[in-house]
Amino acid sequence: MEKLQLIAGCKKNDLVAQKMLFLKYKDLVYTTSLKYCGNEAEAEDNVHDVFIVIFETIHKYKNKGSFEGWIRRIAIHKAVDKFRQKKTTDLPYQIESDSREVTIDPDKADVPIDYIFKAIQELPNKYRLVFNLYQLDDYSHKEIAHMLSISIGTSKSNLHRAKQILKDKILEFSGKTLLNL
Amino acid sequence: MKPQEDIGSFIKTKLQSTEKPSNEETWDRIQSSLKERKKKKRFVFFLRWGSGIALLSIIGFLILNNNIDTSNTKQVTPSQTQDTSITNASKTEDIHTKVIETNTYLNTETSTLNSLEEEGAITQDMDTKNDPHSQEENSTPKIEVSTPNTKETTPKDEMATTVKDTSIDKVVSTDESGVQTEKTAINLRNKVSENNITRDSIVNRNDVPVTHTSKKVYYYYNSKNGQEMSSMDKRVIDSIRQANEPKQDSLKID
Repeated sequence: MEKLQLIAGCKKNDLVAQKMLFLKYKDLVYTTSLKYCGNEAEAEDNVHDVFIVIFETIHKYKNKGSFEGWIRRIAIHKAVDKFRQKKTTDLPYQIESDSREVTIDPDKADVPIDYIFKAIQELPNKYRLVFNLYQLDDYSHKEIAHMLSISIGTSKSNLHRAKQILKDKILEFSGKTLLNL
Repeated sequence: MKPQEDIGSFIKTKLQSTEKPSNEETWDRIQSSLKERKKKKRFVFFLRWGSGIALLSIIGFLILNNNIDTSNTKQVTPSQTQDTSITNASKTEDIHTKVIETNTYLNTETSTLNSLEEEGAITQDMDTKNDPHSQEENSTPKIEVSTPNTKETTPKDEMATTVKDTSIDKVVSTDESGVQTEKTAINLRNKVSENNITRDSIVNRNDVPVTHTSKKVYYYYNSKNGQEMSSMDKRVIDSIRQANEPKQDSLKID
């Protein structure tokens, strides 16, 4: 079945079409969820919630723009919503922004994908969300600040802190592998 | 030596073309959730419609009930006039008894006004007796009607009643002592109509259908010897009246 046929079937609440759509886009939603959620179980829950939203609001999709992009946006917003519901205050606000670049030597940073996912998941919630939104999904600091109800300065600061933590983890992993060799 | 790369860009390029496989069992959960949500939606749909229909039926019932109340009160008025005519008829026979309708659920003020209504009926009747054709009847001594429980109908108050409106029917009655008494028939009728309105408003305000339970009490008063009597049975009053009634011959005027 083609994508448009699948969408049309889902709009008619056709169960077969819904399952086909799930099988086609589940990995995309799961990968996005893995980056935004703290662990795999949370990511699975997010996949479930995202597809429920997709099937309930697919009639709003007017076949304009990328369907994958529409699905990804739903996955991101669902993950952000969960974060906002939790209202975690585990981190103190860092008002001062740090615009210094956090760089790494690509030769020394040969790390597997799973490790990168794990490193992102282990970031504190606010750092992880800001890093994902800004760095991986091209949201601006203004948009992030609005989405997470934080200031732009805090968003920049959180991004810098996230990058610093990720660099340390990647270098730590590279150092361990080098030592093992 | 390669140039340093931003860690963000480095991670982005690493993850760009990566897709992690998801668990297919998630579909079962999604399916069951969708079914539950459909049930909930149906329930909410029926709940909304049900509550809407219930609300409409309640409003309809209330409107219908109000209409029934209004029609009931409209029907009450002719029956009351019928009562008046009955008392009028009894008065033509010069029976000095009075029927007081007492509603058990209304307050004393209302019952007082009821008695006023009947008083009006009496005076109206007496007006007919003032007609020149019935002069003979007027000349006969009359026993005054009294209502012991009501202030308005005592002879003194009747005497004190002043006629202000020229359109009001003046009723002149002559009692045994020869004192002429003016009575305001229409005025009293007006009071009666006000009383009716009050009663209607009470019924409508509560929005409760009220069952009328009325009792007829017959009063007897003899101005000669001051004898008073009240009874639920008209026959008792009639027998007393007949016993005390003066003979036909004694009423003749020389």
